[in-house]
Formats: sequence, C-alpha cells, structure tokens
Amino acid sequence: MKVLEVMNVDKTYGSRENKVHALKDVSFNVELGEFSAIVGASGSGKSTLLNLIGGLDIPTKGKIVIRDHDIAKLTRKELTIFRRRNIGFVFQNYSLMPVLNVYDNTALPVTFDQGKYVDHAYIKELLKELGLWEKRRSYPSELSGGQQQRVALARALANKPALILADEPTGNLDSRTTIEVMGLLKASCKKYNQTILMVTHNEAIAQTCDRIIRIEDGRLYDGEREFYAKGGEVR
Amino acid sequence: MKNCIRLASAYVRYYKKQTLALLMGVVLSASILTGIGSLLDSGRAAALENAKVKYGDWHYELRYDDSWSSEFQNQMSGKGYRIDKDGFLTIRKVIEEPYQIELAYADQNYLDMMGRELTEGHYPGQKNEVAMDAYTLRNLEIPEKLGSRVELDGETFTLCGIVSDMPEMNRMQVFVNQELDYGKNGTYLYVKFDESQKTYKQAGAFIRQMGIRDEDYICSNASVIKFLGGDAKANPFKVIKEGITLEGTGLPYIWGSLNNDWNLTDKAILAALGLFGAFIMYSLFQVSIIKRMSQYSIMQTVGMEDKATFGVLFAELFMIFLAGYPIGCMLGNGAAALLYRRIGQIFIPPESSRVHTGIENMSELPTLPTVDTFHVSWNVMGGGAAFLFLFLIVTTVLLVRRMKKITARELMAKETGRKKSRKIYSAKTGNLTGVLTKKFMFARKGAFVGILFSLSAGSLIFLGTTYITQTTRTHNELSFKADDGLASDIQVYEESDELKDTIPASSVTQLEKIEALESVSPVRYMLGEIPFPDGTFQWTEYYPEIDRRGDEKPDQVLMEKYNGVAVQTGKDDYLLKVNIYGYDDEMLEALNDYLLEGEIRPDMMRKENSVIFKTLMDGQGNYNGFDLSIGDQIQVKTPDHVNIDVQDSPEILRFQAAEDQYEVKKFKVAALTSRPMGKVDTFIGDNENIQGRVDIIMTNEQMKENFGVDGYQTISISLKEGVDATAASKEIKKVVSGIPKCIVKDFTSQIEVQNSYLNRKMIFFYGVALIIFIISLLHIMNSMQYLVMARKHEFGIMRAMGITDAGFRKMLVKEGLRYGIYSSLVMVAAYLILQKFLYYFVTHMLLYLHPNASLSLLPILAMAGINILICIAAVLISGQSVLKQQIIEEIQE
Repeated sequence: MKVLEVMNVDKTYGSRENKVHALKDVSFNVELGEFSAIVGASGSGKSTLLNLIGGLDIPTKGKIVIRDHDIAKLTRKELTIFRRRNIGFVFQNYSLMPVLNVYDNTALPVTFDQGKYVDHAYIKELLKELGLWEKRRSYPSELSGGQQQRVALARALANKPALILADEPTGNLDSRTTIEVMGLLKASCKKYNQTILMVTHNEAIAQTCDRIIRIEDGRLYDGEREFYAKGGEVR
Repeated sequence: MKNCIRLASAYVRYYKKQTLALLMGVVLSASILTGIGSLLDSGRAAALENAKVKYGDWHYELRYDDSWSSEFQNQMSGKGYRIDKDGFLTIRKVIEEPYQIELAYADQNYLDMMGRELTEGHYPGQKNEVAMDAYTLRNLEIPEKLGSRVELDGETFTLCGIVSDMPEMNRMQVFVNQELDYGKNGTYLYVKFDESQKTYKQAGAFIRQMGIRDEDYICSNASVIKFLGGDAKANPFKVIKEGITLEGTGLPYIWGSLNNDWNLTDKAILAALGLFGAFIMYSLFQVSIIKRMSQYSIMQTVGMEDKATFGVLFAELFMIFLAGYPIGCMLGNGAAALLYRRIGQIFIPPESSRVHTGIENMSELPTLPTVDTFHVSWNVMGGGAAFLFLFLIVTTVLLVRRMKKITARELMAKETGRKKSRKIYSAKTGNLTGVLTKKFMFARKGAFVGILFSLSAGSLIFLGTTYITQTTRTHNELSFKADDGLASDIQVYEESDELKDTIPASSVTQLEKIEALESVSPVRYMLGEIPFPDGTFQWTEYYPEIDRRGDEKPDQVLMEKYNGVAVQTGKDDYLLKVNIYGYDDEMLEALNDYLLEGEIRPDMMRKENSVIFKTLMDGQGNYNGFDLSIGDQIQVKTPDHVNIDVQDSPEILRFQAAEDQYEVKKFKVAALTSRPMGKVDTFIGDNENIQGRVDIIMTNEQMKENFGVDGYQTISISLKEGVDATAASKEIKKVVSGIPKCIVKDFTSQIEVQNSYLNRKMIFFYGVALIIFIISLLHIMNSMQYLVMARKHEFGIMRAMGITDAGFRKMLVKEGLRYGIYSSLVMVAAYLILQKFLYYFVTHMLLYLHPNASLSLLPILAMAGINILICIAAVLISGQSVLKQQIIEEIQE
C-alpha cells in the first residue's frame, strides 16, 4: 500500500540570474512500513525533498500525495492539522523546546489537537521503550546528544503518525549513539508499522535501511529506483 | 578606527528597521526635550517683558533726599555696576479724599520706565494743569476730555493731558507741573542697571559706592528683578542641611528654596525628559544589539578586542545620534514655535510676588500675559546634546560589558545552575501553549522585568500627568473662587478703611432686582483681634513683627496703621488681628470645598452663635499653626465702628484706644477652613500669597446681632449667561453711584481669558503626555518584536509540530494579555507610590488647595485596558512576521 507518492516535483529558489534548481522532476513512491534513506552529497537537494514531503515548503511544480491526500490542495490550516496527525519530524539539531522537560516535549504535538486525549500510557511506553522514562523530568540541556535525539524521536512518534521524516537524525551523534538511534528507528518502524524516510549523507547508515533513494544535483540518480544489497553493491 | 566606522555604517545600512527605530527614538526624544526647553525659555523671557510692562522697566527705587544724592549724576557707573537708565518722581502732595491720590511731578525717564505714554494733550505746563489716566478719571467721575475741570483737595485744575493707565492699577497718580510745590516733597529715584549682569551684585556695588547706609529706603521691583539675578542665591548645601536638621522644614523647604533660586521645576522637567529619552535610546539600541549578539561573538572569537567592539558600537550609535539629534531639534523647535504662537501664554510662569506696596488693594484677577517672540534655547540644545553624548558612551560601555558576560556564559556550559521546575505539565493540562507562554516570559527574568518596566513607564507618565492635571484644575477652580472673590464676574467694593463706610443693604436689594444678574453675594466685614494665650498660637515665626529671628522686616504700613497683624503680650501670649466676615447661606455652603475640620451648618451657627475659623497655611501646606479644636471658644475684640471715625482716632485700628471703644464677644468654633470665599483686602489684607490672615466667618445675621454691622463691604456678582457685561456694569454703577468710595470692577473678560488659558494648559499637558506615550509605544513595539524574534526557532518547532496559525495567534494573544496584565499591575503599584509622592508635592510644595489623595479609578482602569490592548497588538503584529516566514528557515535559525 502506497503511503507516499512524489510525482514530477520541481523546486526552484530565487529568480533570473539567481535562480537555483534545487529539485528537478523527482518522482518516486514509498510503501507502508518501508524504511527508506535519501542519500546524496551536501546541496544535492535531499533536505529540500524531505521538507516538501513534510509540507514545510511548497513545490514549484509537481504533486506530493500522502495517504491519498494531495498536500498542495490542502489549505494552510488543513495542511497543519494533516501534518500534525500524519507526519512526525526528527531534525538533525533535535529541535526540542528548551523550556519543556522530556515528557512535555514528547506530548507537545498531541496537545495541539484541542480536546484530544493525551495517551499518557502510550507516552510512558514510548519513553520506556526509548530508555527515557527515568529522564522524563529532565530538560533538553541536561541530556546528551543521543538522549536528545531519542526525545525527538519520541515526540515524532507521539501522535502515532503514518510517516516519519528524519533529516540527518544521526548527523550530530557519535558512532555508538548513531547505531543506538538507528536501532530505535528501525524498531519503532517495525513495531508501529510506520513508514520512515530518512535523509543522510552517510552511505553506511543508509545501507542499514530497506531502501536507498539517491539524489544528485536535484535529480534522482538515473531517474530509477535503485536498490542496494546489504553489502552495498548494486543489485 | 576607520574599520570600526566602516563596520558600523554597514550595520546601520543592513539593519534598516532597527536603525529607523533608533533614529525615531533619537528624533522624538530630542524634539520633545529641546522643544519644551525652548518653550520654557521663551516663557521666561516673555514673563520678564510682561513684568516690565506691568510693573515698569526699573529695578530699584530709592529715596533721593539723602547725602549721596548730590553725587549721583557723577556715579552712573562704577566698580561692579552700570546704570542704564534713571528716572525721578517727586510727590508734591498726597490727598486722602475721595481716594488716596498722589499729586506728583515725573521726568520723562520715569514716565518711559513706567510705560506711561501721553495719549492725548500735553504734560502740565502751567501750575493749574494736570495730566491723568483713564482709571483715575473714571473713579473721580471726570469726563475723559481735555479741558475738563478737575477738583482735588479744594483746588481746581484743568485736564491738559491723558496718560496711559498705570499697569498695576493700585495707585492713583495725577501729574502736575514742576513748579507746583506744597513744600512737602518726597523725591524718588528709579534705576535700571545693566541687564547683562546680575542686578543684585550691581545694586550691592552701587550701595557701597554711594555710601548708602539706610537700606530701608530701597525698594525693589521684585517681579522684574527675579528674572535678572535680583536676589542672592542661597547656598544649596546650606539649604539642604537646614532642610534636614531644622524642625518643620524638610523636603518642601529644600525644594521651595532651591526652586526659587535655581528654577528647579523647569530643570526637573528637562531632566526627566532627558532621562526618558536616554532610557528609550538605550532600550532600543540594546534590543538591536542583542539581535546580532552572535555576530559579535564570532568577531570576538576571531580576535576582535573589546576596544574595537566599543568603537563599532559607539560609531553606530553616534552616527544615528548625529543624524537624529539635529532633525529632532529642528522638528521640536519648529513645533514649539508654532505652539508658542498659538498658546504661548501657558508657558509664561505665573507671578508669585508683587511690588512691595504695603497693603494690597482689592485683589485683581490676573490678566493673560502677552506672548513675546519665540526663543530657541541653545542652552538646552547644547546641554541635551552633551548629556546624550555622555550617555552614548555609558551605553556603549554597558553593552560591551554585557556582551562580554553573555559571550562568556555561552561558551561555558549552558546551565546556569538555576533551579528548574520538574513538574510534568501535560499530565495536568491538555494545553501546553499556556505553559510555554509563561515559560518563555520568565525564561529571562532580567529582560522580563525590563520590558514590564518600559511597558508601564508610558502609562505611568500618563497617569501622573492626569493626576497633576486634575488636581491643578481643582486647585485653580478653588483658588479662583477663594482668592478672586467667588470667581465673580463683577465685584462691587468699598475702597475705604473706615469701618462704617459700607454698601447699604437697600442697595443689595436693588442689585438683586437687576435682570441680568445671576447671583448677588454680599459680604459684611469687621476688623477684630483675638488673644491666643499660653502657646496656643504656635507659628510665632509666621509674622515678621513677632519673629525672634528677625530675618524679615515687618510691613511699615501695617505696623503704623494696625500695630502689625500680630502682637506679643507675654512669653507665649499673642494677639492676632483678624478679618471678620459675614456670608449668606449659599456662600457658607460653598465654603465646604475648603473645609479642614468640623461642619458648616448655617442654621446651627445662628443658633449656637458659632463661627468658622479660617486658619493659616505655612509654606509647606500645613494648617497646624493653632492649638485649636472644634468646639473650642475664641474671644473676639472689635472696635466701636458706629461712633468713632478712624480718621479722628487712628489708634482704634491699632487696638490701642481706650477699652470702652471696643467690644468683646465669645464664639464657639464650628469648623476650620483653609480659605475664605469673598474677602476684603482694604484693612489688614487677606492675600494668601503674602502672609495669610486669620478670618472669622459667620452668617450675615450674626454680624448684625454681634457687632451691629448691617452694611456690606464687598459684593460678588455673577452674570447670567450671554449677558452684556458692560451694560450690566453700568446698571450696577447706577445703583451704587451715591455710595462714597464704592468701586465697581468688571472681571468678565479676564475670567473668560483665564478659563481658556487653563483649558489650553490642560490640553498641552495631555499633549506632552501623549507624545511620551507614543515614544513608549515605539519602544514597546520594538521590545515585543525582539521578544518574538528571539523565539523564532521555538516557534518554528511548534509550527512544524502542528500548531495552526489560529492556535499560534491565540498563544500570542495570551502572551500579550499576560504582559498587559503584569505591566498594568506594575503600573498600578508604581503609580500608588508615585501618587503618594505627587500628593506630597502638590500639598506641601505647590500648596494646592484640597488636592485629591488619589486619582479616580476610571483613568487607571482605562490605562490598564489600553496597556493590555497595546501589548496584545504589539505581540500579534510582531508575531505576524513569524507566520510569514518558512517553518524550516525558523527551525534553522
């Protein structure tokens, strides 16, 4: 079952002589439960693609459909609500609210849905699962990078979204913590049957995913879906 | 240095919004400071010109019949002085009937100095010719026509010239020929010193040079010389020491003394405006700097020294200041010049002292001063620039230090060791935005307090101004009524010191029948003396005649005619001369506005034969000069006014005649008041501006029963709306024409002018407060924008997490509301303190009558409402820019 469809998406910035083509004619689909990595060099357009999928930015051309919703056709308010309920974000710089503790940071997106019941049992389970329960009253500044990224992951999962978009979630972490976070992402993907789209420039990390989408100069590599074997060779 | 300037100018150009905000702050602060400075300066210059017109363009008056007189003409200038002009007046004779009139010969210089121009005819060339002014002619009922017959003291003269009125119409002068001599001459010299030097010092040098020994013969034109350094300035340290150490002095004494000498009120206004401008500039600039603190951190990391940081910051500030200050000066002075042309009178300081003439005549309503040319105050402009320049240096030093601290802190661990709440809010509430708002606000306590302070500052100034405006209005109305005879349109009074010269009751009945008159309030009068034995009169230094310190000389006329107002009879025993008034019930009711203690009930007063005691007020607005309570008895001694003529036995008014010529009555005190209503100045005077008098007030019926007084001394008349005052005056004059020494004075035009003057003054007060409020508003907007911008990253996260635009705005509204409520609370708390200070100030320093201790609730609530609205609007407007930006850009900030 398709969760995401990206169809002929273009994204340009600036105008005239300053015009930059960040993405050119990008198309691909992602199936439910798939853990995909978007790989490319710095400036290749991978983060732009992720932002467009997350509705944080608007494509210049093309269509993005998530769970049968063309996000371009949603109003600003509908898009915000859709994003809140269907998409979870994990950023490289964690982007936690410094004034909230771990528990409240996790529950934050749920509280935006007025009248929605905060499933405390689920949040407890999430935090325990991610090894954060003991730290639930701690503030982001009191946590290590790995712990902060785990909080970001917990927050992304809090609303039980269908799609998790992770932008270089291990970019700021050491190798041990990177393995730990990747393990958690994979585990949650499996456990909650979630689709994860992760941007990374690290080939080794990408190879731990189910699928790799390579971008170069704003285009999908060869314009085709490419699958890599676990060993890194092209199949 | 070049690099600093280059970098600073790059910042100025790049951060256009901040530069513009700061430029606006500088322009507005400079314009309000220099504009008001120029208005105050122009006001003072105009006050001097007005005083010269009113009291004459002379500084000192000397008796010219001493040994030094012959040498005078050769000593027009000497060591430390220069006389610019001198004039002579020789009094040939003073007649007492029908009024006190001087027959005098004056030289041209005297006439010029007094502004007495010959409007018709010529100066008397023959012994039987006289020149007179219109005022004297009217009172003597002589036609204002050359050739008219003038009879004075049994002699007949011909009117050969008409001169302009004496500016202060309290003396009647008739100019005669130089040859006319009755052998009783008194010559007076009027001198005007060089006004570019202090007149006080010049007068001292002149006295020394001429060897003038008896300084009693010197009289000063106080209203003029007070603007020209006419008094020696008190040593401020001595004044402060006295204020602290001497009992009964305190802050009012210090303020009063220093204000007199150093013009502190104007300086305090300018200092407050300067500080306010400086605060705004600092606040605007620090917000601008904090926004780009990270850039300075980077520059410092790559090796920029503090010196260079100082250079860049100062250059940036100075560039904006250099552009903004002259624009502000031009705008401020331009607006001030326009304002001055329209309502310049309100900036002219009111008169506080008069020429010393002994007993004051019937009080006069002040006429509006004439506006002179507008003076640009270069002193304030220069002083303001110097102050703000120094302030720029201090600001820059403070910011560099602050920057250093923050940068160092940022480099260190982010934890500051502050205890954080471990509470899980989402367990209790489903809405974390409220929690976030609170947490954002309190995250930086210093910034929070600073913002609250600036938010409340504007409204605080507005409330303070409203309080002063309201109390000023009340005071003006009350003092207008009390000091100027019930604020009456027309006053009819007896200008005589014969107690039996009164306006008969039948005339009052006739006046009441005149259609055009709204009310007729007649006042009966009697002079009295009250003993205060055993220390019951406590302010023994109040009257110079009994003041042991002997700092001030008693009034000669009062001493000669009445043996002074106060007489000491034993160690702690005193006798005080008092004015005794009889009022009608309406006036007695109106006295409630001035009530200090007790009750005013005319029926009860008639029944119990009780009276109202108008007590004394000291220079600090206190009323505790007597050990006297409600219900106490006072003993009043009055002269036999029916059988004895003052002219025949003048000692009767001195209370030194035989005891059988007096009557003694006892009264119970029913109430104490701070002022009388209608009053009589012709005897011992009743002017609060000089030395107060004790008045005993009762019903007109009591006046008759106790003292047999059935005629009136003064009548205050109000006209019906829209009535022709001149016609009404003529009708009144007709009724009282047969009564000797009865004068009719029309105040309608002065009242009208006075009212419009007060209204304009109020409008100006509010105008200044409004400008200050607008400056605060600019500051509020800037602060809020900074607050929102500083949290852009967090807002970006929230938007990415799914907060809707409406939810975001709701959160901002909550924050604005909180800021509004908190700043209103700060405003109210600060205002309560300020009000206490202002109340003390208006009561003890400005000596306002019965000021309200507090402002009504409405302006406070209105201000709080406006505060809340402004805060919400400011946060929402600033927050709008967050919604316009891409979420991802905000997250990456």
